[in-house]
Amino acid sequence: MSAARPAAREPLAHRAWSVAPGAWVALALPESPCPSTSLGGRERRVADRRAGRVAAVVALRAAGLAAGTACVSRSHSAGAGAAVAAPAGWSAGVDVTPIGRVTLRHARAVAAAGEIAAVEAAAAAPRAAALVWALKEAAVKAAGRRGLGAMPEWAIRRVGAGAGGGWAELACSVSRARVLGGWQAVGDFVCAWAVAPPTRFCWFDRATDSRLRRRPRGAPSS
Amino acid sequence: MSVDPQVVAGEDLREAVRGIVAEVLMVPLGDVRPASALVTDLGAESIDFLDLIFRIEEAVGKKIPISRWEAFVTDRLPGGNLAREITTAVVVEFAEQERDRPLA
Repeated sequence: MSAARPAAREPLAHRAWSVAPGAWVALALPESPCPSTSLGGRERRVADRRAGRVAAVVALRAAGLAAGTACVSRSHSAGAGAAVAAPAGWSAGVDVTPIGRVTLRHARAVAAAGEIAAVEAAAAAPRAAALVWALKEAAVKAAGRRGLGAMPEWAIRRVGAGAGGGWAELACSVSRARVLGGWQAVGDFVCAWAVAPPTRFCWFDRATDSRLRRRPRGAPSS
Repeated sequence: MSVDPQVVAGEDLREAVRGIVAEVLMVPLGDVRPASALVTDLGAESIDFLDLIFRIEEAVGKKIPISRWEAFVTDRLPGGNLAREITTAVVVEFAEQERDRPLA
């Protein structure tokens, strides 16, 4: 019989920061060393999803937005949860990844050598693989897509570092959509996000997950 | 766990995939049943699926681009709830497909 639900009620510390006008990212981490890593299967998923929900509440509160009228993306892994909340009409995606979980092999499966090198140059090399993964995952989610196959479509075009984190611009080779990304390293995790206001775009039909072949009327050319 | 690609026929491949799923997702082998949904039942994340592909590559002795997994899922589970519908049996089916795929 599995343990009672201590992991589901594990105290979570949270923090939030603004990533664009009206858009906030929040991160929820276990206050003590994460028991989620010792859980398996459904138990781990329950604990992780709770962290994602907490992060979503914190992000919405920080942004001053209501759940039903905001663009929200959530992520969870190894006991940590992350969320980005942006005004309705924006595109936003977030990913939280344990730094040690992603190897160069994983990164090479979804990114070109030049992208990995650029991220290594901007951020500490041990984090590069996790950053590449998290940035691409965030961009895919911002575009309303899903799955491993979409990650190689998003190229990390430019990248720069700041205090404890950095920024990136990603572009989709298929749709030519672009998003502004960023990251923060917090403890053993990296949290990455990708956002685009309504005047930019992600050219995917969210309802059908189908690509729009033409730039939507009124969208800018770059 | 390394799997000898020469013994991945029939039942051996099914059991090999069960073992791979259990190891990658860090769940007891007994929890990995054909109908077990990798995401909702076994807690799989996106990077876990990449690890599964890597391990299946080793099991069948062939390089497997991500695009092949994506194409398989799209074709096999069109418009479905992937969190619930990617089961151990689906992963076994993919591994069998890749094992039987002729080398280019």
